[in-house]
Amino acid sequence: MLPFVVPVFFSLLNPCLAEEGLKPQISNVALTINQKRLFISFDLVNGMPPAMEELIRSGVPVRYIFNIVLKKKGFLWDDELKSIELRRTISFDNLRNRFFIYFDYPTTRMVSLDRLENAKKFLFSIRRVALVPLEKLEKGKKYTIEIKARCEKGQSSMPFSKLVKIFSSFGFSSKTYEFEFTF
Amino acid sequence: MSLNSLFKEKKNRERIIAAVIALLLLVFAIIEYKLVAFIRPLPKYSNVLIFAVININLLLILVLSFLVIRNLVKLLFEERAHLLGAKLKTKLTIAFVIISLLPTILLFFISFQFLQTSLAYWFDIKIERSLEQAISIGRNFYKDQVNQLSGLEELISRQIASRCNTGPTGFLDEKCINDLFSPAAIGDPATACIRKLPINYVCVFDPFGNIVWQKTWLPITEDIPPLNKRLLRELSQKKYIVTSRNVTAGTLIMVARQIRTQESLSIGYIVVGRIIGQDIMNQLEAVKQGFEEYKQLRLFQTPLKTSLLSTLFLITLLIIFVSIWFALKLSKSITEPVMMLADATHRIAQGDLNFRLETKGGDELSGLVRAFNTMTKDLKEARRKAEEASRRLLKSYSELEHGKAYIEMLLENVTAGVISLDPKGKITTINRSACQILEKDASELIGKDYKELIHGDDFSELERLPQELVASDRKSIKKSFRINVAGTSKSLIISFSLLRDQNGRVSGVLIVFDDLTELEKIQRLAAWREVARRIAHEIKNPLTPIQLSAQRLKRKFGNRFRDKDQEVFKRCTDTIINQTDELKKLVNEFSRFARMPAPALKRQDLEPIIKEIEEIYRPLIKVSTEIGKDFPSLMIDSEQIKRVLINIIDNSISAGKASNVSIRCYKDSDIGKAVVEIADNGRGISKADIQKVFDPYFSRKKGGTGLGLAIVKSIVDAHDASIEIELNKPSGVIFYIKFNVE
Repeated sequence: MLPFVVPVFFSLLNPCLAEEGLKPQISNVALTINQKRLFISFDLVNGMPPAMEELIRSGVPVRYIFNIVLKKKGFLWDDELKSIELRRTISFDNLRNRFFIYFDYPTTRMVSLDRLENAKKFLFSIRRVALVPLEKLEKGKKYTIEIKARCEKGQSSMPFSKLVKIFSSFGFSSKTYEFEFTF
Repeated sequence: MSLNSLFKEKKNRERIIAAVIALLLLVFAIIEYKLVAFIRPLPKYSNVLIFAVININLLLILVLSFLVIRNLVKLLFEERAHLLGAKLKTKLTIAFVIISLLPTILLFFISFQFLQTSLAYWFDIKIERSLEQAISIGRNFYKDQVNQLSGLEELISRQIASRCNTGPTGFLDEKCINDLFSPAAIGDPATACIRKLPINYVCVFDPFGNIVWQKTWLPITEDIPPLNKRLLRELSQKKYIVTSRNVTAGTLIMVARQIRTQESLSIGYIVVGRIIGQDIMNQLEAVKQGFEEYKQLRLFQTPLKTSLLSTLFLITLLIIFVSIWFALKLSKSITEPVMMLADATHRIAQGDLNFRLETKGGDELSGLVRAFNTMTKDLKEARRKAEEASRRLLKSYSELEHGKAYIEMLLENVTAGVISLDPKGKITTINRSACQILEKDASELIGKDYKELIHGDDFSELERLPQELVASDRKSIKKSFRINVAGTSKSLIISFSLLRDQNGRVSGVLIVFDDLTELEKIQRLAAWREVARRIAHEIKNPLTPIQLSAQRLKRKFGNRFRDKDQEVFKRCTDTIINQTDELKKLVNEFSRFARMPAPALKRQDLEPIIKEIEEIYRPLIKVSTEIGKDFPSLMIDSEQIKRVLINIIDNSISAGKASNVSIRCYKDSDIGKAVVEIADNGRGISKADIQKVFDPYFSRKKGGTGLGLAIVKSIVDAHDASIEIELNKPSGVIFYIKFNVE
């Protein structure tokens, strides 16, 4: 019976992974500058598979974490100039029938929305995140930017939540989006 | 390395493996718990980690199952090999396994069914509908509250816009707003209505988001922070915004909107709030939580079901394996001491006591093993003592044997005959000298009545002696007897002594006797020699004058008588002369016997003497001689040996009337002696006389002195040799003279 048990775990572990056709990925990456700073904007697409949406609608908060790392290309190794972690947590209030999104960067704030589509825009559209002052960048030098998104299921009051967590975490990680640019 | 130590090492290894597995299971269980409880949820790799942990657990269970199966197979092989204790072990294992397996499997299926039913019940459509309706009621209630507030707010907003808008740019009069909500103010019914509205909070902002006027009503007791300007600015795109805040009295639901004039010009913002009581909010929250948990459970229905069933299955599997393991261990713990005891008993039966059984714990079997060890130790001690006692006994026995052997040696070598009798007169021991004297074999005599071995004239007196001895206080009685042994009379001096044990009781009789026959002969010979010497001395002296006188008488007076007288005279004188000659010869013989000189021993060959004898007697009889080639030279006195041979042959001719004599000389290797054998064909001698032939003055020959063979015996004895006589066949006698060969 044991060999039967193992494959069952495989398939039931992560509903998100079961939908490999719609892989979350970083896209629409854009670098902009003003007179002082370098900014980055990007989108996360396919960031909310149906299972995740259902999870959010069942009242479980879901956290999206975006890691942005700016590196200066070196001969042997790269120098990390800036590393930012953005956290955005979405939750749904079934009583009020509204979505709440909590931001922790650059300032802590919250928005409430009545439609999921609007909530997705707030969640997945990252706009004008300040990276480094321009004086830190050297002209003609090569830089790389790595962006990675991951998703975690937050705490829930569900019974057997700890047990379920062993078998299904409802999380995912996008592939690291990496590109080079010369300043 | 011995088998026992190998077995122990293997056992220890298995124990270590089992302990490590148990430890790993515990560690991974803790890790799982930590992951679930403390580590924040992780994305994909957390799944992998958890998956790895679970699979390691599975692997560990597989290892455990491998160990269990291996032990079961081992048990099967032991059973087939008919190893000691295998049957008992198998029976116990099966019994324990059945005892533990049956309830476990039964419980598993019941739990499985119960879980299935429970899960089906949880996700029943009726429950889902009920929860959806409940949340719908909650939502409607909330929406209704919001709608009511929104309606009230619109009413207030219109009143403020119409009454308190004092400027074209939208300046709101604070006093006017205050009057609208003041109970003292007298106005139209519309304002009176506003004052009675069921609201708990009002806040009015100017178009820039600055507070113009705000007021709270009970049960709100604390200050309510104003909405931030950014939120207010969003109202330009929305009809109203709903927000809420928890306060002491409950949850404050607030609706914000713009205050617009009839011309739809925004002149400010208004926020109106109402308290929903804590109890109602708690109920709404409970409904919400129940609904959300249900939705989550439904979402996780499959993994939950799988996880619960898998957990149940794994736990059952673990229980089964652990129970089997425990059964094996338990049966082993029972059978092992039994096997050990059986093996130890076998070893003890083979005499091996130099071991000790290892035991742990304090159960009855361990107690039995300990008792067995004590018994083995006692046995070993007892055996040691027995061996020591045996050694001492052996030593004593050896000493006794030695003493006995010494005594036996003494008895065997003593010249006196020694016979011991039991109280019934049966012979218990007899020594060699006794056998020689009585000319009987010891084996013939042991156990027989002593009366059977002695026959003689005084036997009746001899028979009385033991009784006399018992009746008297004397320790022993000594008496001389003459007994007849194999037709030969022997003179014995016999001593009877009572044998008494340590308690003084008579346990038998000891008979000690000496053969005095030879001694008597020697004494008699000595006496005869003395007699002969005296006779020779007393008779020889007058014989010569007698003979001379008789010769003179015959010479001087022989012619004086005539006829008949002369003849008588002559005959008488001749008789005197002849008899005197005879007496002289007799006296000379006596004299020779009495004056037997010591032999002058000299090593020489016997052959010349034999040849000389042959020459002497050839004219008279037929003499044949034969001298063996290996016949050695002897230490002899030639004259005396010649006398021996002459006396023997003379005896054969005169007493035996022999016509043939043969002399044979040879070496008898069996007895290691040189033998001179003289055989004749004469008349021989009677058996009764054969032992007396060497006695002095014993003669069956008319006119014989009886000293010839006595002298032979004396000369032979003087040469440290021996002489024997036996009858020849068909007639005659044979003399054997046996010389020692150096």
